[in-house]
Amino acid sequence: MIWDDLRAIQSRHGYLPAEELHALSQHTGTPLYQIHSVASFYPHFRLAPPPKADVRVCMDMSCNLNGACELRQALERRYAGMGPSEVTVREVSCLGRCDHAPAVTVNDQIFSSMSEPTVDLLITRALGGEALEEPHPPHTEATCKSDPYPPDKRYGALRWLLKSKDVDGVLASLKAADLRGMGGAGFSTEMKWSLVRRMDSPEKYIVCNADESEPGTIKDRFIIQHLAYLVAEGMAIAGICTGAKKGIFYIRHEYGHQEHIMKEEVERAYHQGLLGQNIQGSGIDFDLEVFVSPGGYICGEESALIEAIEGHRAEPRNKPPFPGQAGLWQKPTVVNNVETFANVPQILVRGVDWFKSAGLAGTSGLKFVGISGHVVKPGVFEIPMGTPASEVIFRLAGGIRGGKKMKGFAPSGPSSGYLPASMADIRLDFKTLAAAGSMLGSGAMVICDQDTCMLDMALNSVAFFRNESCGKCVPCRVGSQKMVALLHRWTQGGLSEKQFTADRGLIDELSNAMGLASICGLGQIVPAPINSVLKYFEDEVREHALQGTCPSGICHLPGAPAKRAASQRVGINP
Amino acid sequence: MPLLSADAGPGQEKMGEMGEQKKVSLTIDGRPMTVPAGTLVIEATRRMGIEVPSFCYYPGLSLQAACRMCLVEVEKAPKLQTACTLVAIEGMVVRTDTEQVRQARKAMLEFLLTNHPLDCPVCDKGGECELQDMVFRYGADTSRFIEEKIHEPEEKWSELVYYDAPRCILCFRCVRVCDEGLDVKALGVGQRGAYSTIIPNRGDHLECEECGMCIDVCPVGALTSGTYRYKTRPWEMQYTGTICTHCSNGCKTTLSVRNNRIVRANNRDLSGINREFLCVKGRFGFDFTEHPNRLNAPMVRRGGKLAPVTWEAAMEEIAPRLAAIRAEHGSDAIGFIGSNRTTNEENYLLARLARSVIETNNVDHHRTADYASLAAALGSEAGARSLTMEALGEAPAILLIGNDTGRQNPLVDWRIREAVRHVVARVYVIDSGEIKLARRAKFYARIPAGTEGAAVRALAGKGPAPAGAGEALGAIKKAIEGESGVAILFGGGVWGEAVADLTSWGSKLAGGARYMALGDYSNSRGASDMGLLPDWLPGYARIEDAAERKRYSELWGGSVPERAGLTAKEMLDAGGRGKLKALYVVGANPFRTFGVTARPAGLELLIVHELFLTETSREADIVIPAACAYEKSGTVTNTAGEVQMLRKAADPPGVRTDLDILRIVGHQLALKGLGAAMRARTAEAVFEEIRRNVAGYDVDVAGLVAGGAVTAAAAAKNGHTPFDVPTGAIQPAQDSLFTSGTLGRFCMMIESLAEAEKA
Repeated sequence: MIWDDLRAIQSRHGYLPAEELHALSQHTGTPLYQIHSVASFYPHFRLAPPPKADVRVCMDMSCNLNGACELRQALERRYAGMGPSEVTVREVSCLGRCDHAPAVTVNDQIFSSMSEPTVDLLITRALGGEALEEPHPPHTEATCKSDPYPPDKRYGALRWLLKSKDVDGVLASLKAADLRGMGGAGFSTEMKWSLVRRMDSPEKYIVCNADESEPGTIKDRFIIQHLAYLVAEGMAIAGICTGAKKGIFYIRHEYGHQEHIMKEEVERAYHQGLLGQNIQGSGIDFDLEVFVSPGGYICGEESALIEAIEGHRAEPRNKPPFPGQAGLWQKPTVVNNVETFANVPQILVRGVDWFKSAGLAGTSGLKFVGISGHVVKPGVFEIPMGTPASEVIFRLAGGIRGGKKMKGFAPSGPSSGYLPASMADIRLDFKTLAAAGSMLGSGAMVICDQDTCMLDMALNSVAFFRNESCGKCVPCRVGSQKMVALLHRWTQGGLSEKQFTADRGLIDELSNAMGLASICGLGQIVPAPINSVLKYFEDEVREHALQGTCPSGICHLPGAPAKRAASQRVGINP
Repeated sequence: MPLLSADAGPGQEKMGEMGEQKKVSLTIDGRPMTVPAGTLVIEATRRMGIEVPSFCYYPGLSLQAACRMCLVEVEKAPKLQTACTLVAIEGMVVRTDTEQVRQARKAMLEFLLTNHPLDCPVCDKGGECELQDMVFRYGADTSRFIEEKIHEPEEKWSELVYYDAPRCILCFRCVRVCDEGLDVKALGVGQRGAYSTIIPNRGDHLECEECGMCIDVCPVGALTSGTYRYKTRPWEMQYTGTICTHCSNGCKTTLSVRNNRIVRANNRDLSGINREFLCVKGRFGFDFTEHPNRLNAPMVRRGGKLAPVTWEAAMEEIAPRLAAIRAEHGSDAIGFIGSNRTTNEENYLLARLARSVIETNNVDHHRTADYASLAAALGSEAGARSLTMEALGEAPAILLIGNDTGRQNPLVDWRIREAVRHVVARVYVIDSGEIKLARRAKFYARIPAGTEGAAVRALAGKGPAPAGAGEALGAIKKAIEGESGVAILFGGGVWGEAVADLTSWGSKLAGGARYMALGDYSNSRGASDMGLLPDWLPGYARIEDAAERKRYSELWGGSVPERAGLTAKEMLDAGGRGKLKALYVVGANPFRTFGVTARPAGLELLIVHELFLTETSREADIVIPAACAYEKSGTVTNTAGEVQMLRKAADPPGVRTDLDILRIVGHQLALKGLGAAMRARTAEAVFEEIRRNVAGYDVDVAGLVAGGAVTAAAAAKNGHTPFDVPTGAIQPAQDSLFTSGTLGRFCMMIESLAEAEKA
């Protein structure tokens, strides 16, 4: 596997030296350009020797709301005198530590809740030659309503299915329960599985997408940590239902701890004879392996994820064919989110009726949501589907920090766009949020307080998409880049009314074209943050773009009075 | 939903059970259309004359769906669909010209132009740029983006390939053509997102076959050629479609000429048997025409030295001296060695001159493949059993014996890869080297050099396998015998009796095999077909055949002698022994070919038509500066037996075509009472005589004149004759991609390549 080879080289040298890549090319018979193509695609791989302290500050939503800009700027200023072989300070995309923002990596080790002095200390240690190691997360026990099992009765649904082989029954239950994909798209799980089941192929795959990389999304991290057995069980059940004999648990590389937990769980399941050949004498085979992603938000797109497993650049495939028809190695493949798989045993053990009654206001099931940003208690909460957002924000997460008011919130990271505080009572479920032009997505609530610059948040979100665009298709590659440039211009203020109107027309057309033409969801969703901000916070944006008034002072305004300039923060570096 | 792998190329049209192609009907823009099942919607629209624009879609290469230009509306589909990946299905309703589609196209172009430098006035591609054309047709008239463009400096990847990243629209055609088309894999995509870029395989430079296909398929000016860049504007050139003069594959090449100079060669109109394909020689190997050493005046040896003389003076020397030697020493004291690069007409005239004017059968050429034995072995089946380049690309199974097609027959190699990609052909390779194509082979048998004939006998079950190859050959034999419709290609190592062994084995295979003998030069096949052989008359009429001799004697107005003549090697030997007094060489370098280091002592007269002073011509008594293939008209026959027409692109001063020279020599000899003068004055007239008289050449002239290839099925009329090919008569040239006999040595651009030194 090319990823293992590249990781091994990087761990030996700290980067990928040209000679090593050449040798790898010779040794594996892979053309050198292919190795370069993939190595340069994933920011995780370095093609040049790293400095003694390679500092990368996460700049995305939650970190941005928690002072990542100031932190990065302070670090840059402090280490400006040091050569690039000593210290470099760069940005990095969301690390999945949104509840402990801001997060920083130093020499690839992730540290959360960082401040200038704490990073400074890390840098000093790194400069001293110390091999840093990221802190092990504290062991937490969580009792989840989602868990249908007492500790000694796990894998009950799987055992039952191995014996009964009632695949039709399972699918009927999933259908009746209206279980939908929890990764963001909300596609019917039963339909996906049935499609793969019908495909006439001796080789099929089950892939669990644990690559959650959208800013604010931390719920899968929690589920893996506490309910890994439900996920493994759900995958095995999917295998039995579709005829797939192989499952791949695809986890983002920043989740080292969770990777370890999942591997332990898989080992345990093998040990108990719940995975492998001829499981429990049923004649059914199902193997499960953990695959560590080479990295990047785009890997969460199911076909890009498949490309990554195959050792390629994670570029989404044009659809159709869908993964259910031609997925991994061109074989029918189920790709579902962690939470979707975890939901399956619950439905089978407790029954459809329980599942349907678990949600509020006519919705089904429970939902894990992550909440971060300007709240008192950021974290992951398990709520009934259909719970009002305000319930999560103000009750579970303890409300807005510092006694401030909420200005707006993203129900699910950048892709859901931003809603104003006045819509805080909106119910968190597929239908309600879609009707409001937003989405339930991956349950990644990001909360902005009254001092937040919503234009900056829109720019921040669009820039995230620009950074994570794979570059394959024209609209996303160019559109995201141009939209960032345009919004950055807005943050500088001083636009004429005429230019602002023209720009707005351009954004409309840009959004339309990107939505029409992009290969995958990333390109289609790029304009969502700015469109929602224009919809709900238009006055603020107008004032900002025309008069140059930034409510949070985060945007660098060259025309601003000198006395304000001293305390100004620099927003996104375009 | 239709199932189509993203990697599958088009053209995989499924056959119905009865072998008949299934059809589907769909409606495009309100018009009904029936197409073979498996047809892509983009192809269906093009067949209807409806243009669906695209950049990344390129017929024959894998599908990308990246440029998003070909989006169309499909009834019942929730979103716009890419026509390049959409397979036509029964009842589909497609609209290509709706407001939504127009908007999407316009937006894509606006996106592409936001980073594109718009340096069209100084861009090589200006005027023939697909992006320009698309913007003209579908684009907006204004640009609304005022943000700064991303700029990167231009990169030089090799002497021939330059990359200008900002102009690149990332259609990935270059990457795919290099990977899938050439199997070279020298280009990739690096970085990601807005910073994605094309990267060469050696970090900052290319190490590859330098075929320039990447430049050719580039829709914009991102990849430009070292030979052409900043030379001219496309509309300032004249275009002449002719045939490449290097190897035997007969690729059509369009020479772009400005001020009587060839400045570019490509085949962008996709006409010809090769469509867009050209190798490094075809694309860049034209500057020999203006090499400083090119001969531009006749020379006659005076006082031991070659000195330039007038054309009159030179031509007045030839006939009297030939006539004198013939009078004193007899016809057979004169020998003729023809060229494998001159036209069929010229070869035919040379055969006529030798046989009916001088009346000797001492006529031969540097043979690189045994076409004569193949024609003899196939007899009347020659037409049906010959393999065209097009058929090769669709062959279900391919057996290649003793030729490194990757180096010596680039179009054949390209076609074989095409067959592998598009019809999943099985390839079997028997060779003495680790040839490139072996990578694509299902079975590969490595045999000792020089045992190709023995390997063939082993396949035919007539002898033991060469040492160490028994197992592999056995596997190939078994596999091939289970195939149907096998295409068999063989190099110069398979000759004489072995060819007959091969065809008798092949004729027993299911569906009958088809054959291609692989020679080395642009008209190797034509030289053979036109009878530049001591024992064969044109059209493989056996010299012993009295009726054929009589026919040609009457046609030519002379008396064709009965006894077979000397081979080229034998002529040189006879010259050394004083038996051969005069040697007339047309466009060949036999001293080098046959390792002759000094002029044979007994030769009294050596006449050479040449472009340059070579090992042979520098020893000549009379040197006539000849026009090359790019400077004349006529026909050539490629190694597959396909006849194609040369067209004159440039007209350098001081040279004449071999046809003219031979015609004048014939005329002057006639004045001395030898033979009959040629009535025909033009290549067209000579070809008409060939067409009427040479077996297999009664081809469709209209097709030829239209620039097509017409198959000549020259067949030995008397079928299976003894295969008395002398050992050593067939000498493969062993050229590489970067060498091409004499011409190659004078191709300045090719000589300058880093790869050429290694070749």
